[in-house]
Amino acid sequence: MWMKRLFLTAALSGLSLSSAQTASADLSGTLTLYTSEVQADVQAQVDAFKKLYPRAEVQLFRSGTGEVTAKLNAELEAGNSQADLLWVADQTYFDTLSKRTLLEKLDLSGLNVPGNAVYGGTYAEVRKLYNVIGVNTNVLKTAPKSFADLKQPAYQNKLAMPNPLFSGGALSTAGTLAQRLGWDYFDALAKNGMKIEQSNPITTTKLIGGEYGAALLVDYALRREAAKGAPIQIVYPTEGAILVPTPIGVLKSSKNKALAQAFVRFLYSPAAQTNFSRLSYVPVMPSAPRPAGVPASVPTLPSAAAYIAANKAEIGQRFSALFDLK
Amino acid sequence: MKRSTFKSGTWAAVILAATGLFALFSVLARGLPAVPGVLRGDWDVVLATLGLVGVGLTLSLLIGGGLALLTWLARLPTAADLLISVSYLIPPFIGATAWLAALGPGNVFTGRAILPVYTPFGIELAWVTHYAPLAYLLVRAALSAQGEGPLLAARVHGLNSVQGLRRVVLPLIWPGVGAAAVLIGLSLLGNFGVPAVLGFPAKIYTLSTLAYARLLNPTLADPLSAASGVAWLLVVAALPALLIRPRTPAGDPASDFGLPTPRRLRRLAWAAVSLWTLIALVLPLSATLLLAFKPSYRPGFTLDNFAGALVLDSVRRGLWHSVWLALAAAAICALLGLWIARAGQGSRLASAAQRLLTLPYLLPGTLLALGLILAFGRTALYATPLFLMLAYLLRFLAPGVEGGRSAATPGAANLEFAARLHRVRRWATFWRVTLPLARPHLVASFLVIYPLALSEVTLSALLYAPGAETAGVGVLNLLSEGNLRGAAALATVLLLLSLPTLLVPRGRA
Repeated sequence: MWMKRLFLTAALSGLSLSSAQTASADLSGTLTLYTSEVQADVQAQVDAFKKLYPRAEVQLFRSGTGEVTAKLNAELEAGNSQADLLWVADQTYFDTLSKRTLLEKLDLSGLNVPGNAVYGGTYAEVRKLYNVIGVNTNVLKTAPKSFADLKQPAYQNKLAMPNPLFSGGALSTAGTLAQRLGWDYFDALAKNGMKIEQSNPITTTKLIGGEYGAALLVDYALRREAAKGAPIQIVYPTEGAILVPTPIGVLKSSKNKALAQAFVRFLYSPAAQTNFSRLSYVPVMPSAPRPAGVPASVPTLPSAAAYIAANKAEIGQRFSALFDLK
Repeated sequence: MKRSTFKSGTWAAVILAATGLFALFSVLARGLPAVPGVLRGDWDVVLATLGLVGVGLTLSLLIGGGLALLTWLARLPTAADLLISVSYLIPPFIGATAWLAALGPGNVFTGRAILPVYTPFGIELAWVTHYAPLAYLLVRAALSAQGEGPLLAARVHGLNSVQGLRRVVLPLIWPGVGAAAVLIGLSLLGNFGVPAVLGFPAKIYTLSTLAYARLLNPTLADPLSAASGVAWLLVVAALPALLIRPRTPAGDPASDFGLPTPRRLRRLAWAAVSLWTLIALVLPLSATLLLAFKPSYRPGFTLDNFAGALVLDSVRRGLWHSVWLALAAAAICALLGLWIARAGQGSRLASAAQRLLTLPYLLPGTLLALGLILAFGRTALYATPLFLMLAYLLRFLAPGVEGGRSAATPGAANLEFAARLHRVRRWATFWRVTLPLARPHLVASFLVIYPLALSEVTLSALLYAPGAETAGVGVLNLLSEGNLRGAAALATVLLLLSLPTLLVPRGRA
C-alpha cells in the first residue's frame, strides 16, 4: 500500500516537475501553423521562438484567410487535420470553431493580456491591425481625410481595395463600412470607379506603383514600405481606422498542445511584442514600443463582427454584384 | 518465352494504371451531382477557357509552325533550333512570373504596369512564348522527316515556291501539325500555373484554376464535390483531343539535295529567329534576373531578395522537396518506364495498361490531384512528400514508358534472349543487358522528366500541405503575398537548378 502511495507521489512530483520545465523550454516536437499572416513576418517570430525552444519545429501553411479556412474545413471533415494553431483574419470563423468545441482554452495566466484582446478564452489577439486609407502622394495632390471623402470626383478611377471574398481584412472593411455607412457607400464607390484587387499585397504593390491614388487596406505593409522610401502616406480616417481582428487559437485536435500553448504565450512576451513593433505592427501589450509613425492614439472603429457573422453571404453577394466578382 | 522475362513489369503497369483510374473515377463519381450546377453557374468560365485555349493554340501553331517553315526553307543551322526552343525549357508559371517582372505592376523597368498582364493578353503571352517552341519542334521534325524531295519535285514540275509549299509540302506536314495541335491543346487546357499567376488576381478563371478556387472556397458546403464537378468539364473538353490519334509522318529524311537558298530568305529567317528570341527569351529572362537582384526604392544590386525568400522555412523545404522528388521521379519513371515498356511487347493486357497510363499525363493535372485527394486524402500519405511522389509517378510515367519503348529494338530483344539462353537470371539480364543498351534512352527520359517535376505546380498546388511543400508552390505563395522580387529570386534558383539539363546534348524527340 505504502509502495503504491510512494509511486503515486513520485509520479505526481514528476508531473509537476515536467510542467515546471514547460517554462524552461524543454518542449519539443513539430507545430503546424495555419495562417494568413505574411510568411516572412511569422518566420521572424518562429525564429525567435526556436531560440527559446531549440527542439521545436514550426511548419506553416499560408494563404488568404478564405483559402486557409477552406483547407482546414476540408481536413476537419476528413478527420485528418494537420493544424495545431490557427491565426487568420476571420473572427467569425474562430467563433464557429469555438462553438463546435474545436478550440482549446488558451492558457494566458500571469501574462496580463488586456481583456479586450481575448475573446471568450479560446482565441485572442496578439497585435493590432488597422484598415486605413493608403495614399500615393505622387498621384494625389490632396489626400482624403475620411472614408466618406472617397466618394468625391477627385478620386474617380483612382481607388482600389482587396477582395472581401479572398481577404479577411477586406471583409472587415466591407462589413464594417456597410453597417456604418450603408450599402449606398459602396454603391457610390463603385460608381466612382473603385477597382477590386485580389489581396492586400497586390493592392499595396499597385498603389506604390502609382496605378491607384488611394486604397482601403491594412496599415502595416504601407508603414513598412513608406519607411523604405515608397511615396506613401497613411490616412487614419476621421470615422476611425477599422480594427481588424486577426486572432490566434489552438486546435483541440492538436497533437502537441503544450507546445502550441507555449507558442501563443511566447507571442505576448516582450521579445515577440517588440518584434511586432519592429515589423510595423501595433503590439497588443501596452508596455511594448509602438512602431514609428503611429499616433499615440489611433481613432478606432471596431470591426462589425456580429454584423459580418450574420450577413456574410449577403456581403459576398452584394460585393460580387457591385464589382462583378466571381 | 522471352517475353515472360519482364512479366512483373506488366503487373507494375496494371497496378499503377489501376491507381490512376481509381483516382480519376473517384473525381468523376464525386463530381457528377455537381455538374448541372457548374453548367448553370459557370458556363462563362467554360467559354472563357475554350476561347483562351483556342487563341493560344492558334497563335502557338502559327508562330511555331511559321518559324519552322521559315528556318527549314532557309536551311538555318541547328543553332537556330536551340535559340527558338530554349524558352520551352522555362516552366510556364515561371514564364508568367517573368512577364510580371518585365511588364506588370512593380516591374523592374518602371515599377508601374507597362502593359496589362493580369489579363487574357498576359495569359496568352505567357502561353504562346512557352508553347510556340513546342509547335516549332514538332513541325520542324515533320519537315525534316520528309526531306527536300517533295519540294524539288514540285519545282521540277513547274510550281513556284509558294505553290510548291501550299500544294506539296503543307499536305505532307499536316500530321505533324495535328500532333502539335493535340499536344498543345491538351497542355493549355490543363495548364494551371499561368492562369494562377496572371488570372487569379484579375478574377479571370480557366477550368483548371476554377477547380482550385472551388476547392479552397470557404463559403461552399462541399468544396470537393464542387471542384470535382468542374473537373468533369475538363474531361469533356479534353475528350476530342484524346480521341484524335495523329499518325506520325513518314518520309525520306535522306533526300537532302542541297538546294540553293536565296540570301534574302536566309536574312529574313535570321531576323525572325532573332526577334522571337528577343521577345520570348531575352526580355522575360533578363527582367527576372534583374528584378531578382534589384533592391527596393534605390538603384544597384543586392542579394536581399534571395535571402528574403530563402530565409523562409517553407521555401527552403520546398526547394529541397522539389529537387529530390524531381531526381527520384525522373529516375524511377525512366527505369520503371523501360521495365514496363519491355513487358508490354506482345501482351495485350500490358499494352492496355500502358495506354491507360498515358491518361494521367495527357489529362489536366487538376483531375489527378483531386482524384488523389479523394482516394488517399484520409490516409497517412496525406501531408507527406510521398503523396507528391505518388502523384509525380502517375503523372510522369508516360514519358518514361515512351522512352523505354524507343529503346525496345529487335537487336536488344535478341541480346536479352541470348543472355537467357545462357542461363543468366532475369534480374541479371535486365541489369547487365537491357539497361546498358537502353542507357541513352534512359538519360533522355530522365532529362525530359526532371525539369517538369522540378518546377511542378499544378499537382502540388492542390496536394501540398505543411511539411510537403514544393518550390513551385513557394513561388506562388510569394507572388500571392505581393513579394514579386522574392518570387523572381526563387524562380532564378529554379532555373539554375534545371540548367544542367540544357547543357547535356540530346537528340530531337
